[in-house]
Amino acid sequence: MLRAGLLIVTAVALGLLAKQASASDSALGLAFGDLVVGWLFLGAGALVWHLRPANRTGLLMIATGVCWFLADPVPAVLFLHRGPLVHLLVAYPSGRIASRFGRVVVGSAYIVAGIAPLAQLAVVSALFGMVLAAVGLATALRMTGTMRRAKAASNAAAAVIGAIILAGSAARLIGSPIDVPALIAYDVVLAVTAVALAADIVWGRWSAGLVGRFVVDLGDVSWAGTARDRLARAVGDPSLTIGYAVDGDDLFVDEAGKPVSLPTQSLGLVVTPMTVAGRQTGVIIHDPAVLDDPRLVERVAAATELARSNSALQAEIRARVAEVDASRVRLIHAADAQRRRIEAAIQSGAAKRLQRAGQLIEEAASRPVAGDEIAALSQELDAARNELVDFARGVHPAGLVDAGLAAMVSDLAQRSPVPVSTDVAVIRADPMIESTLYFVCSEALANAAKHASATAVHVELRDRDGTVTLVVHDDGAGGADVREGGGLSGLADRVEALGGHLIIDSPPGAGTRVTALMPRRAAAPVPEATQ
Amino acid sequence: MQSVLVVDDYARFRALVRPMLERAGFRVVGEAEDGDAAMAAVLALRPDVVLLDIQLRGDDGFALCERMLAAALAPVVVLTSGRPISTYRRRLARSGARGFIPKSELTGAALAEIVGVE
Repeated sequence: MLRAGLLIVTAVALGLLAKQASASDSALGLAFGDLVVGWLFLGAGALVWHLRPANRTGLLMIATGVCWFLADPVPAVLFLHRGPLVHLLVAYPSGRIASRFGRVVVGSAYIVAGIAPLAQLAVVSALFGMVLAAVGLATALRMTGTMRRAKAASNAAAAVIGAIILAGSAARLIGSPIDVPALIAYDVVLAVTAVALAADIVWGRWSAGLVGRFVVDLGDVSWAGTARDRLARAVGDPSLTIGYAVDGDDLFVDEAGKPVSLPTQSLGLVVTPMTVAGRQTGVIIHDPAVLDDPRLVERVAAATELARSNSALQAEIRARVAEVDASRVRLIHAADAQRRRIEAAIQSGAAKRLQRAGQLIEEAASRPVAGDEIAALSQELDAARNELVDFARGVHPAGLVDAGLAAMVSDLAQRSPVPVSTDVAVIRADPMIESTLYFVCSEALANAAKHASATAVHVELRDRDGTVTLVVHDDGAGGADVREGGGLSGLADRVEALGGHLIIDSPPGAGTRVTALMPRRAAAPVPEATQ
Repeated sequence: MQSVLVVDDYARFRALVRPMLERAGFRVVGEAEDGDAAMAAVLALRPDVVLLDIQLRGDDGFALCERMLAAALAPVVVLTSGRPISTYRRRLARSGARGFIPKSELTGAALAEIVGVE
């Protein structure tokens, strides 16, 4: 199709050249210039249309060329080319007129260019030139960054063309004769415009700069907008939407997680898929003229994917930090609760006993004491001492330092009301690791006896490649849940805080298996409150 | 107000000259781009003045000038050209044209001066 178009253009051009060849020589230079301008607009327009079919710029250039050549057989439309020319410059580079002001300017240009008597008035031409130059300059000044660079070619063209038209019309207004060099200058500027716009839109480095700016924007932490906002701004399509692919579902969601519905044809929007390394990461829903360069879309896809994984990473980090914070809070509460329990137990137990023992001693001081009273006193003291030792063990079992974890686990097994079989290896680890494992074992055994009504428990303690593994397995009722807020949940936090894992496998009716995996060295300091 | 017929094979020139002449007080009643069209226009429109480019495509401006002057109710013919007057001095002297204005000096006022204001 391109070839046919170029053939037609060449044929027309040659025909016109032949016609002009016999023209008056005063106009020969001008005739040649006219031919070149028209031919360039048609040729460059066809090229741009072929390479960027979704972009109206190509069509507008062709229209300008057609109107230009029409002036020869139909003199009345001499200035008609100004309509599509202004349209071309205002809509450049997207091919769409973005603002209402732009629509007004282009509409007026078509009207002025189309009405022959109006167009021929020098005053009208002067005004037209002035407005065109002003629009070009104002647009260049108003825009910044990449958009300014993108529109640089059309702004420059508008300014220069407008200035030439203004100058020519002004000269005629003051009564100067028709200046052939000025007409030739107009031709030259138009020819350069056609070539420059075509080259800029096909090879313009601003498209690369566009993505560069987008990526830089995403990296700028202080910019509050979303990736969608930044892309929309960078590309110049405010209604642009990004839909991210959701793994597993045939669905796209926006950055807030809300589903994005793909538009139907009638809305005139285009759905461009984004693929990174062969995988579709999402879609961009946009005005068809805006992202018509496939290389640009590729880079945009990579940039948004980068941004997305970055923000996903950040979200994950935030979630983890929140989790760690919550865990620390739980640990502190657990420590406080434990202190209160100890306090209460001491008050109701050992403290009372010591009080009674004290009373007995006082009585013994004032009267003769019977042998059985001393025996009773001795009993109370023993019991109080035992209770206090128990409490001490609850805070930090002293035996661990001397005997080691294996011995203390065996000790727990012996003291358990439920029969416990053990398979313990001698383990040495950080004191905090050892005490945590001791408490896990103690709690698991207590649960087996109290809640699960187990009849047998097996305890295994091993060191596997630097990871200490404690398994307490009972045949009780099962259904244990670490979230109950009981002893196990506090221990889970403590285990995790030291870099380990606590796994509870407790299907209802099938017993409970508590597994603690911990490193031999503690991963992080536990908050002071629990020591 | 005098009526003018503009004869030139270059459309842009005709379009640019028209407002220029109109501002100078002429009424441009027609345009023609070759000899036949020019003659037809002269006979049909009966303009007061004809601004005639000597270098017309395939036609000799001077011959056309004579034909026009030979017509009934002949107009005033003013010749113009992109080339300077020196090229045509002898032929100009023999033609019946009222005058010659090089295109580089062509203004409404210049034309008015040659044809005289009525």
